[in-house]
Amino acid sequence: MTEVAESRSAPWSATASTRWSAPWSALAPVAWLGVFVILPMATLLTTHVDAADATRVLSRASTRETLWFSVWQAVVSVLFAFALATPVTWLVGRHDFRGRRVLRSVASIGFLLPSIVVSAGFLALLPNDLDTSLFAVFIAHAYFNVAVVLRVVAPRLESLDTRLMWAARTLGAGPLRTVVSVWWPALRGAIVSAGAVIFIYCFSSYAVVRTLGGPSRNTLESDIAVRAYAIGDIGGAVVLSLLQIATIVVVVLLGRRVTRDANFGVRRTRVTLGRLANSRKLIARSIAIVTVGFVLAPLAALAVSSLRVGEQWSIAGWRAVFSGGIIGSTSPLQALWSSARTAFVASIFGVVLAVLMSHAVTRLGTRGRWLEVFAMLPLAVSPVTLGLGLIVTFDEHWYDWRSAWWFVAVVHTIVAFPLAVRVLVPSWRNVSPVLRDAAAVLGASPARRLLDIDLRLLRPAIVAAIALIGAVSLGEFGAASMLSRSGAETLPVAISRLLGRTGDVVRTQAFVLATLLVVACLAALLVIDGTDWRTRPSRKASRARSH
Amino acid sequence: MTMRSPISPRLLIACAAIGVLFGCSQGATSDTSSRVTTAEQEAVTLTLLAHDSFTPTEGIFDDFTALTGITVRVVRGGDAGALVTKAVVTSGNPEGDVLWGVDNTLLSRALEADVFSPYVTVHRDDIDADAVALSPEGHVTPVDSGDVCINYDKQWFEERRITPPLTLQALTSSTYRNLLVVSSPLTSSPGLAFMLATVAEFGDEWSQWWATMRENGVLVVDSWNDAYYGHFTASSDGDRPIVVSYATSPPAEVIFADPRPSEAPTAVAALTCFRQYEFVGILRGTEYESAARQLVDFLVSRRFQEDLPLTQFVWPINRTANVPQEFLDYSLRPENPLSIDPATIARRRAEWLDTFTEVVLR
Repeated sequence: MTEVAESRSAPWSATASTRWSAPWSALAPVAWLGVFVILPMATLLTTHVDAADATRVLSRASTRETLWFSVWQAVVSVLFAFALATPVTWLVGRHDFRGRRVLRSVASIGFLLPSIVVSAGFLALLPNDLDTSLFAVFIAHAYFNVAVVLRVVAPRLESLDTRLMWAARTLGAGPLRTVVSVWWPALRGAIVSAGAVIFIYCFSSYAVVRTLGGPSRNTLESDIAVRAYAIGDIGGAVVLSLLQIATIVVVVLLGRRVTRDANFGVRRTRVTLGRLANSRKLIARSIAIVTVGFVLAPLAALAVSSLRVGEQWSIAGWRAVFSGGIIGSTSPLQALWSSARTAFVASIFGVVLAVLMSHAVTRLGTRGRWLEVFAMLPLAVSPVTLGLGLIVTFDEHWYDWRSAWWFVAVVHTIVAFPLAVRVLVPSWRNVSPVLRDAAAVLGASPARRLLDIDLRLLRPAIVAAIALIGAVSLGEFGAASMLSRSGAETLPVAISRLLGRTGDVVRTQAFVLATLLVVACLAALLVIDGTDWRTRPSRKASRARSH
Repeated sequence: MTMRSPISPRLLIACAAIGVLFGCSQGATSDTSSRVTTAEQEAVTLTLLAHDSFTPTEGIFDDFTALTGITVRVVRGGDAGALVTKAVVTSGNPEGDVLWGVDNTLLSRALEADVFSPYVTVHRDDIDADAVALSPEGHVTPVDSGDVCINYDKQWFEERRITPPLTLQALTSSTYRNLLVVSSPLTSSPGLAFMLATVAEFGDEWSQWWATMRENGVLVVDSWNDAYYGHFTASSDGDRPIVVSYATSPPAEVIFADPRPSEAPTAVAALTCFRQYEFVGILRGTEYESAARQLVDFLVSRRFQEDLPLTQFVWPINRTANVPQEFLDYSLRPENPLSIDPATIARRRAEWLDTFTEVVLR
């Protein structure tokens, strides 16, 4: 998620050793998105939509209201996310202290959790009169996206050139002036980039708006689901999802315009952060406690619910889950296994595609930026319509994959793909071509160079991308619930099913599974962050280069 | 710098091998199964599509396999609405062979899209005649029924010495101001059934009832789960003692409690019930028409029907099926539930939902 390294805008993009490989490496991921995103949407469009659908839907007043609500609630959600994330981002981005990495990991967990789980946690936590309110929606959206601000802006803050601040201070600028003239120009790119990502997530929010916003509030995404499933108006649903894609594309392009050339004041080498000054310890502690408290409260509410049956404390839910006595035909352990298998396959496929894509993005210069925008496509596509598109496209002969177990994994690679690309792009930019050229001079074959230089330096980013895709896959609900699943269901689907039934013990089991899912996501997150220290070789390499 | 590669070629090969293995084993199994199918006609694997709430006892289809040699693979995909939408877009080239779970509120949408291949089950004479009448041409076969009704918290009303509401009309009284929580018909199947109950009860005046209820403080939430476990006093820390739920919710409250109480904490207002029927149908375009017919027969047979009450909290449609005593003890079976003919529902559902949105949600 970091974009720190974008400043190193690849002056070496034209060296002999890389030119040949760039367009080819883009082929597989572009084909992948073409086959599993664009083709299904196009098939749905040609078979179930006509011009009358478009005029009917677009001329309806409720469509405009829904679009307007989607936009403004997303904007307010972005502001909420920044308000909540700014203190912790400042703390993590500008200071070195014990527990810094743990704080960063814990503060990021919201992003990886499925929204039905978090919504359930918030419902358990919020007082009843706040249950279905806009405030609940904004808080939940902020909850998911604190991580985005933290992960995108903090690294930029880390690499901020302190000499500029000292220079400003020496020239007589006050703190406010320093922020306006030094911090803002340097951080603008990262802030806009984070804001755009949060906007996209909140704009297409579904479960949060549904459960916490109450039935009178609709985003385009939730309206799509109502059209497609409750009313059976597939044409209308597709038209709305095209409207959603169009809006998101506009936002992405606007964001690109603003972030272009926004690399002011960023040092090319990693800056060592200052130790936390004693005078700031109290404020730092308060920030850490408030942030961790905010992030963990709904999760703690889930864990508490898993230990309560009706009015009493009881471990009956946990006992039932581990003895396989759950209601329904899949046991929770099967759901765990099914989730793990899907996540494993999705991570392996997804990471290969993301490595190829990010390679092409960094090696294609300006055209690479278009490719990067293209890689964001899955974020804009509604899971409901994508699910429908997939079942009408892959429906006969040898490509009738509709109920193959791995089809869910395919969908998960699509959902996680944009995130994995964002993790890998900066790392590819970090790989110095000097090393590769040196190896070539010493007689290393292209394959050897790929293995011993590129992949070696990319290893931490690859491990992080694998864990990220795995976590997204574990928590993904929207698209997976639209596809038909044979055999065991995944954890989020099992949780949602159990929450929909009467009976205290049944319900407690849902919270047990939710708690297990939170633990699994936390483990994935620790893997993502635990690989941090291994970036040192590449840091050394880049330092060597700049000296 | 050591030149030992951190991602060794061996590791890459291993990864590739795993990928190939996954691919091959997948290919191998499907190859064998299709070969067996052509070799011996009996070894057919049927795909039964069902909604997420289809949860029969594990292994129940083993009996069917033992009887017929046909294997059943259950594939779930979303709620009943999602299931029907997907069946409609794949009409004629279905995702599976048999579909479980289209109900009377969705039936006509599926019938209009010509999703099903007609079949009259051998058990037809044992099935509830009202249910069979809903699909006279036999495109689908009824499998179970249930009622969506007003449920209330007995203790709440006893403590305050207030009479619980017994009819829909009574709910508009100021006695019940701010006491009812319902789920939205746009997103919830019991919510839709309850809206239809008001249409059946009040005819063209139904939206007037909702306007009055809005004045009287009805709370509309997204899902049944949110209503029952987020706001209903008997099962949450909420403040609404009246909720829209199922007539079988009271037995579930007893059977899934630990320890079990001697009587259910909730009760049902029998005059507010709307009956839902679920159907099973053979999907037009299946390769295994005759095997699919055998599966439909099994699903309405006593063996399968007797499993339904305690696993899915619905009533069997087969009148010869025995219903477990504990289910009978706590359940209420309304004698004259409200209902609307599926064709009318299909014709007017979108209009009704728009009216509901206008009157209640705006």
